[in-house]
This record gives sequence, C-alpha cells and structure tokens, in this order.
Amino acid sequence: MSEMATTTTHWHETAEAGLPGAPEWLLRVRAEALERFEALGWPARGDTRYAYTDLKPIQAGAPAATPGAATEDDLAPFLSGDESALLVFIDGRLDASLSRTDDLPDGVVVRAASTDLAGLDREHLERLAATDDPLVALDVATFQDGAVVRVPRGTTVAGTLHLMFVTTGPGLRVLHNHIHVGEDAEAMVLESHVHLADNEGLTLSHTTLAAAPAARLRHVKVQKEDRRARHVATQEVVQERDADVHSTLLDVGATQARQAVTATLRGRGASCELGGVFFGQRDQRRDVWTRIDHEVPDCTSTETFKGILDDASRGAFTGLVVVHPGAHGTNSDQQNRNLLLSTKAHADATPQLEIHNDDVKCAHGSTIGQLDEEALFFLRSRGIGAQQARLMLTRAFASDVIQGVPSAPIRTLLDRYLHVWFIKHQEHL
Amino acid sequence: MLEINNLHVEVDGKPILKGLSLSVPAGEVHAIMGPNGSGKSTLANVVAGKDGYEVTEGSITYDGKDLLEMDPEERAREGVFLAFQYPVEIPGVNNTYFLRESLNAIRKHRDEEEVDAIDFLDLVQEKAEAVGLKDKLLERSVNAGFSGGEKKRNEVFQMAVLEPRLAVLDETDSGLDIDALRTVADGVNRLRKPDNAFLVITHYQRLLDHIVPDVVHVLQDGRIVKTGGKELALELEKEGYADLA
Repeated sequence: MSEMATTTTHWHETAEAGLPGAPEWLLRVRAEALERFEALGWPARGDTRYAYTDLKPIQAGAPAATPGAATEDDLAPFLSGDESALLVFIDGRLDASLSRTDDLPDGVVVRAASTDLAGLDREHLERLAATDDPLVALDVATFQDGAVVRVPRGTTVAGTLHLMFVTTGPGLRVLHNHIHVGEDAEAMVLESHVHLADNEGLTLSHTTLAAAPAARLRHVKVQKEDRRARHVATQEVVQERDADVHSTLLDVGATQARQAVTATLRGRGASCELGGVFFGQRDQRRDVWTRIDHEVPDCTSTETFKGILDDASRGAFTGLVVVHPGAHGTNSDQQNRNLLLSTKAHADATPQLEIHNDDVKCAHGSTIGQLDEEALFFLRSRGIGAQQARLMLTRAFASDVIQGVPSAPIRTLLDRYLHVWFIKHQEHL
Repeated sequence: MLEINNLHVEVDGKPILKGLSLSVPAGEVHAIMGPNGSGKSTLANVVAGKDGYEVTEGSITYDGKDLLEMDPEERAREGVFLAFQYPVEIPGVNNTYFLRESLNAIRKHRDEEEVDAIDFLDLVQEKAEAVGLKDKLLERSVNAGFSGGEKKRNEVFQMAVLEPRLAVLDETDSGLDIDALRTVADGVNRLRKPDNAFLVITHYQRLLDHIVPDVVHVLQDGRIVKTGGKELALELEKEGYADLA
C-alpha cells in the first residue's frame, strides 16, 4: 500500500510541514510515528475501539487552521476564575499575549510545546510513536503544538492550571499535551476546548496524564467545540505507586466527538477515578471509549459516565476493564447511565470486564432511561414550570459527576456550561 | 372555594370516580374517608392535575375558575397544594433549592417580589422547626434517603413554606407514629385561616382526632355516599365502611 493511499493529502501535508525549530531526534520520532500510522492504517471496520465513530470525515483531514485572534474579554466566559496559570492556544497555536504563566511555584512548568521543542520528553514520545492506536501515532506525527505541564516532586499547586484551546475558524488543529505531576505533588489541570466563531474544523488531540508515586493529579476536560466541528481525542493516564488521578469529561460540543481514555495502573495502591457527562442534541454523535488496566495489586478504579441525549443524537459508552494476572486486591466499579430525552435519541452501552485472577472486586452497570415522570409531576405540582422542571431533573442526572470534581470554581463553571447548553437547547426546540 | 360537580374519571379506561360532587368553602377543613380502592387518591391526583386520569364528565372549579383547564404548575401558582401519599425521591435536586424555586414561581405569579437566599433560609429554618424536620434534611436531595415519616414531614414542611389556599393531604397520616402525627397535625392546624381550605384524605379516623374537620365525607365506589359532621368519623371507626351505602 502506498503512503498516499492511507494518509490523505491534508494529513500528509501536515506531517510534511513538520515542526519549525524541531530538533533532529524529534523529526525522527515523528517520521517513525508516521510510519507506524501507515503500518497500522486507519482503524478497520470491526475495530471495536472505533465502532461508534464515523472516520470518513476524519480521514479526509483538512488544511491546517490559520490562527485567528481573540481578546481577553472573549475568553472570560470560559475561565474558572481561580487560574494560577493560563495557557491559550488559538486554532492550535500558542497565543503568548493571552497566556500568563509567571506566577507559579518554583519549578512548576506550564508552557507550549513549541516554545522549547528540544525540551520535550523524548522517551515519552518514542514510546507513543510505537503505539497500537493509529490515531495516537497520527497525533505524534502531525501535532502542531500543545501544552507541557510539569509539577516537581512535593509541590502542591494552588488554583487551576488552565490549558485553553480556542477555535475561531475552520481547518485542522493537531494538539499534543503532556502533563506530568511529580512524586507527592498535586495539581488541578483544566483542559478547555472552546470556540469563538462558527467553524467546521477538525481537532485531533492527545493528552498524557502521568502521575508519579503518591502524586495527586486532577484533570477536567471540557469539549465545547462548534456544533459543526469534529473532535477526536485520545487521553492516556499512567499511574505509579499510590498515585491518585481524578479526571472528568464534559462533552458538549462538536457534531462528532470521540473521547478515548486509557488508564494504566502500574504502581501498587494507585487509584483512578474517571467521570464524564456527554450531551447530544440534533444529530450529534458522542463516542466515549475507555480502557483501564489493573497491572499490579491493590489498585482502585471508578468510572461514572452519563449520557444525556435528545433529538436524533446518538451516544456510545464502551468501557473495558482488564485485571492482569497477579493484580489481586483490585477494586473496580464502572457505571454508565443514559438519559434519553427523545424517542429518536439512541444510546449504546458496552461494559466489558477481563479478569485474569480471583481476588478482585469488580462491578459494572449500565442503564438507559427517560426523565422520571413522577418527579416531573411533583416539581410541577409545586409551581415549577415544565421546562424548568426538566432542566432541574436533567441537571440532577449529571450532578454526581459534576459534584465529584474536586474544585468548587470548576464545578461552578461546569454547571454554567450545563445550564447554557440546556437553555440554548430549549430555544432550538 | 372548591366545587366539584358530578365528576367522572377513568384510569386506563376503567371508571374510578362515578359522579362525585363536593363543595369546600374557604375556611373549612373537609375530610374524605373511604375504604381502599374507593377513589380517594384519584380525587387527589385529579385536583393536582396529574396525567393519566381522564375526566369523562363533570367539572372542578376553584375560585370560580375551571381547574381542569390548568396545567399542574398553574394550579400550584393559584394556591393548590397536594401533599403526596408516596413522596417521590429526586436525587440531585436539593430540597431547599427546589423549594425556593417553587416559592418564587408562586410569588412571581402573584406579582410579588422574589425571596432572596438569605431571607429564604430564615423562613425555611423557622418552618422546618415547626414541623420537626431535621436541619440536615434541608441540605439533602428531595426525599433521598428520608425515612417514611421524614418524607411525610417534608410534605407538610413544603406546605408550610408555600402557604397554599387549598391543600389536599393524601393519606399524610399513614405510617406516622403518634409523635409525628401530632407534629404534622399541628403544622396543618397552624395554617388554618379563614381564607384557605383543606381536603384531608384518610383511611383512618386517627388523624382527625388532631385535625378536627368541619365536614366528613364518605367516599365509596367513586361517589360520596354520606356527609356529616366530625362525629361521622368516629362512627365509621366503630362500625366500619361495610354498613354504609
């Protein structure tokens, strides 16, 4: 198979364009990643990882986005308000004038990859270039920029480290983020993908969350791209001994969104909590795919994903938990709940457990249902209008995921997004 | 205040109320007693406007307005309140938050100013104390993890905060121990005013020892078969429903 047969022109051009200022080793890693991608090919029909995402529009790619402009006022609605650092990327490129990263504890790094390409984590990128996920390989081969966050050993960062990816126009944005929280260190990272103008762009994004021994890494991702845009993201979590990771997804925007999360618990006593709420309206497609690997004993993983689907939207949750031989004392709980607000909306739930050992506690459950008519009548019988009552119950459905986020300012922000989604959604009905 | 005339109601095509007529003037407490299956809860739900009840004949007017034409929320804003027999649990909806939304929806309808969070908290604490609802339950989700008695108290608490003009209590006494029953009754008695009315639906006479009704109606097989004073409740307690009709 020729190269061009697999990578369509736009992707090829993106890879060819390279990274201005990249050191020799990085160019080599990117070339390896592209080769890897070519070898893997686009996910085949029947690749269960991609069963619920239409890859055709993604295969087609798009010309690289041209960075637009934004003002501080434009960004205000997306802020949590307690940012200790703000790193802003417009259409995939750093905007230094809107970013502020100078008020951080000693040794804490929050920067764009493009500001020091030679300083990227070579070992990390080499490992990723050998991935078996074609979209991860494609990301390494073609990323234009992204965020690098490093929190040194023993440091607790107060407030939110906010990585904001703003789109203002069409085109392709390829992002690569690497967040590393050191031993016994703690940080909250907010990764926002938001839009300022209508666009039919395509975002390909990869984020690595690496938690060193006893690190506490909190992460929230907001996907609020334009409703005609596409968003395809992979996120990998790697946890060492006693590391605690809490990652929450709010998936609201884009006509098509795929969020894949893998978590590897490779240090004893690690604890991983993944949560998410995805919303669908009109003919939006949501695809959340997760895989958690319990490689060592005494780790805990908890997953709570909730889908709220209206109109003719479709949402899928696929959750695989693998308990490796020897990983005794594993405790794993996976829940997926879906709320269908229309008879044409559709949810697919596929929980999967692979257990290669005896001494484990694994639970999973999934439900698909409608708003509780009794509760709706109760609220209305207390004078609350039908629309308001539906909003209250929909928010309530998502509330345990939102309430689980370990940051009050971010909880408030997420609740605001939820509210705006609902009000806008009601208006279009 | 409430005029029900020749009301016929079907549920899933099955007639439940078969020509019920009832008149409750302002300032009075009327009790509806009757055996299981006589249509008591159907009456309560039809007054509150629940779906699934088809009125095939008859009318309900409230303050001269056609109640059956109104949505449930409109009825509530006009001052109708139903204390549910089986209060629903709503995880994720905070008890105090929802009640403030509710009170403000009603106040807005009356062109009154909305209550701010601080004033509302004072009001809520005062009323919760009056009906013996524990403070910590105010902060929880509506009825989530409440005991049966706590759920019933929560209904009476909501009534105390919303101060309806017409309150329908649907078997609010069932499952309550005597202390809880007294508190609930005190809550109701404190709300009795010349310009509001109560319809107390019960299977047993016990509640009526504490909420003394002006009029007692006996509902049987979808119709009021007997109407009398408070002594009728005692009579029913002694002789049962069987001898009536």
